[in-house]
Order: sequence, then structure tokens, then C-alpha cells
Amino acid sequence: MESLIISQMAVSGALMGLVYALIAYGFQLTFSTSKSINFGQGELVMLSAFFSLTLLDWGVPYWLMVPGGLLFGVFLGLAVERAGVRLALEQKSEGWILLTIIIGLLGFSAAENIWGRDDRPFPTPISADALQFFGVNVTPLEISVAIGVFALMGLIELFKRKTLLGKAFEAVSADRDAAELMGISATRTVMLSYGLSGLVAAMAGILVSPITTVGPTMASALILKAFSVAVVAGLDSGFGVVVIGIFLGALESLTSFYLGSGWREAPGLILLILALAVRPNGVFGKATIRKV
Amino acid sequence: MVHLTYFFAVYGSLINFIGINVLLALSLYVTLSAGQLSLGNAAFAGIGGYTAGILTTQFGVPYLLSLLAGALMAAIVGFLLGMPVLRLRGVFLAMATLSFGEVVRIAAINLKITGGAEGLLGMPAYTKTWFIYLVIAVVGYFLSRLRYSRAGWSFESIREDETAASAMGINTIYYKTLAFTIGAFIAGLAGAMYAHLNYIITPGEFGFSAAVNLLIYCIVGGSRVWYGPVFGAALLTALPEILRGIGVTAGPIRMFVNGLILLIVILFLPNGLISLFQRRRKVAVSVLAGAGIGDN
Repeated sequence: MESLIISQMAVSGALMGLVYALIAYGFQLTFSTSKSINFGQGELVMLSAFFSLTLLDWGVPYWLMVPGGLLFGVFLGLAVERAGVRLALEQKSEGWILLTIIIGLLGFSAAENIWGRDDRPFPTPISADALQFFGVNVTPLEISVAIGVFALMGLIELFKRKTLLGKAFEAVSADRDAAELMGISATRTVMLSYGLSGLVAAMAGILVSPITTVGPTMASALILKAFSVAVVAGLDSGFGVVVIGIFLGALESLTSFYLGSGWREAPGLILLILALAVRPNGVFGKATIRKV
Repeated sequence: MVHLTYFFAVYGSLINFIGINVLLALSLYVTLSAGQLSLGNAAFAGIGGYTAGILTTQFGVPYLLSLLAGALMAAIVGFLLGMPVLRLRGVFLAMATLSFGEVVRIAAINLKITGGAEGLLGMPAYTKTWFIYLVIAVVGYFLSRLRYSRAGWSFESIREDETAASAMGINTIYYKTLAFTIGAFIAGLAGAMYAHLNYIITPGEFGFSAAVNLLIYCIVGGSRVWYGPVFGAALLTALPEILRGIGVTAGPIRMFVNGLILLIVILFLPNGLISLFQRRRKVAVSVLAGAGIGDN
């Protein structure tokens, strides 16, 4: 019986971990092209979820709402790039860290003023009735999270490898200056990466909100764990985030089972600090050699 | 004299908060001066505050001793944390220290001795306004001396280029940890003083938004000289009052005006508001700059 509870906790935790992995993947996208990330990514998740909920309130059918919400995410990602990241990167300063945080805070206060402070349920046609696999309960809703995460990450990876635009993306990630000499616009590629990371954030919002409800603070815990996943896996690790995300999600859910739910957030953060002590470039990261 | 008494009655607590925020901004300044972007200084303040608060309320330790204990506790934690995380650069350090801050907040919520989510109650109001500003003066003097010491020059060179600094024979790990620990000590001291200013401290006060505010004080004021963060912290802590004075009321608009000011300063004055005043002196400074003494 004990082992059944443990595997139940581990499985549902791991499915939640996939959402952390997806957000962390969004960090990777922008980091690879511009060596910057959006510290307000959690607010993008939250704003996209609220926007999608509003679409549903207006009577838009669920399957039409999804592309609408994703487009809104792309728009937000581009806005963050234009307002916060571009100028700061041109100045070669680290002001973008603060700028993206401030844009996130502005987004947070906008959400509080537009949609209020309450948590709201997010209706979905996907059933939440449990199915049993080897005695472990899994809901179709949780399976939809897994499918959504893998489908989106797979599509983006395919896009990077198979299309010309995607190859430009890879070229800028590999060597910005050389790519520019080949006629690729690095600025546009950075824009593209921010758009994609906005898309990823919106997807995370739509996938997770039927499980967690929608509210201004819905993403503040998510984002910290996505940070942990991104740093532990390494920001250039590709699918490494999935492995770490699943591991962290399962670990977290087991911690809350044994130590009480208040400590739920702790293992990820402690894992982060420990992992950094051993491998500063991430578990799946490559060591970089720095030229002077 | 009557006017002065009236002024203190109305703005006394604002003046105290400005003082505490100035100290916290100075603590981050030390870390930034060695090029290390930390978002953990609010958590160090929390560690200092809780340590001192618990010592005075539950063990009856005298005020000054509990301040010292709070600051030392924060410095020890800072030292231990610094060893693993200071191997990281830029964003990664920011993310790691951010997570550390969350660990501290979660611990404060869940532990019994810290009073949980309701916070720690019953600290006597020992911290006086004159004492806060005395401490600021001492810390400011110390930092202005530090800047031109061997450690100060090492911090500077690490900030400019860490790899080059270590190639020049500077022990970067030692000096980065030193800057981090000094920062944690000052933050712990400020937190300990803050705990004895209010009757209560709660975990939320030392969370993410507090950490971001400290960074904003330093960047807006200018993090290249020690009085930049002082200026930034004083201005931005008073800004809500100033905005109220000129008719911008609380709520969404004030938040927006605040955000706008920050965006403009960061984008167009990378060295902070203090660089506005320095530009005028540039002629005088440039002579020294040739000898490698100038700031910019």
C-alpha cells in the first residue's frame, strides 16, 4: 500500500514537473540567442491564462481559444523584447534583468486591476475523472499536460532543425557574429526567440490552469521552480530540462507527503544550490571556455 | 522648533524606513561593486532580523548584542552560501540567490521559532532614528575607505573583467566571497535594526519584492559610488510620499509612474541618477582618470 501511495505521488508530481520543464524550456530559447532571459516569464504565463479565460467567457469555443491564447503569449513575448531587452542588450549592460522584472511587476498590477485578485476556475472539456494504470490514478487532464508539453517542445525543436528560419536561429545561438556576417539578422532572431518563449509561456498557462486555477499569483511558485529546473539542467541542455523537471516534480510531491505541504517548495531550491556547487554549468550543460 | 516636532510626528516613521532602506541598499552596493548580482540580500536582512528578534524576545539578550548576533548570523550564512553560488556568473547567480531568498522565506513560514506566517511578535522598539543614521555614517565611511583599499581595487577589477582579474593574480574567489559576506553582514545588521523598529516582522517582508526593491535602489541611484545607492534608496522610499504630495494618488497610476521612472533611468542613465551630478565634474575628474583614479 505504501509503495502504491508513493508511486501515485511521484507520478502526479512528475506530470506537474513537466510544466516546470516547459517554462524552463522557454528560458533556454531566449538564452541561446541573446544570453538573456525574461525574469517576468511567470507573469506571461499568468496573463496568457487570464486572457484565455476571458476568451472562454466571451463564448469562444475551447479549441479556438487555444490558438488565441498562444498568439497573445507571442505578442507579450515580443513586447517584453522590444520594451525591456533590446536597448539594454545594445548597451551591453545587465539592466535587462531589472527591466524584465519591472515589466513583470507592471503586468502583475495590470492583471490585479483588470481581473481582480481572486483565483478563478478554468473550465476545460478534458475530463478530470481518474483512469487507473497499474493501480496508479491518472486523469486525462494530467495526460493532456504531458501531451501538450511534449508536442510543443517537439514542434519547436523540429522547427529549429528543419526550416530555414530555424537554422538561422541555431546559427545565431552558435555564433552571433558569424551568423551576422552570413546575412542573418541577429536582432530579428532574438525577437523570434522571445516570441517563441512567449508562446511556450502561454501554453504552460493554458495547460496548468485547469489544475491550479487562475489568479494573479498562480505563476509565482511555478516560475521559481522553472528557474531551478533551468539552472540545474543547464541553460543550453535541450531536453535535459525534461529529465530534471520530472525529477523535481516527483521529489516535491514526495516531500509534501512526508514533511507536510508547507515544505513543498524547499527541495527544488535546495537541489538548485547543491547542483550549482557541483556543476556550475548545469547537470546537462557544457563547460564553456572563456576567452579574454 | 514646533515645526520640527510636527515634522517628525508626521514623517518620523518614513525617515526611519529611509534609513533602513539606505543601509540595505549599501549592503547590496558592496556585492555589486565586485560585479556580483545578488537577489539574496533581503533574505540576509530577514536572517538578521529574525535572529536578533528571537534573541531579545525569548532570551533577553541586550539590544546591541542581538544586533551584532543578527549581523554575524547573516554573514556566516552569506559565507556558506557564497562558496557554492559565487562560481556562477550574471543571470545564474541572480537566479540562485533568488531561490535562496525563497528558501529563507519558506523556512520562516514553517518553523515554530520564527512564529510562522503570522510573523515574530513583541520586539521592543529599541532602534532610534539617531542610531540608524549613526550606523549609516559609520558604514558609509567604511565603504568609502574600502573603495580605495586593496580589497576595493580587487572588487573593481573583478567587476570589469573577472577572467582578466584572475589572470593578473587576484584571488577572485576570496574577494568575491569577501564582498558577498560584507554585504550579508550589513544586510543582517539592517534587518536586526528593522526588527526592533516595528513590533512585528513577517516572512513576506523579506521576500522577492524586497530583493528587487534593493536592486532598484542601487541601479536607479547608481552603483558605482557608495553614495549612489544612498541617494536611490532615499529618493525611491520617499517617492510615494512625494507623488502623493503632487497629487498622484495611490493605486494603479502610482505603480505605473514608479515603473516609468525606473524604465527611463535604467535605459538612459546606465550609471544611475548620480551620474547626472558627476557629469558636471568631469573636467576635474578627467585629470585624475589619466592616473587611473577616476570612477568612470
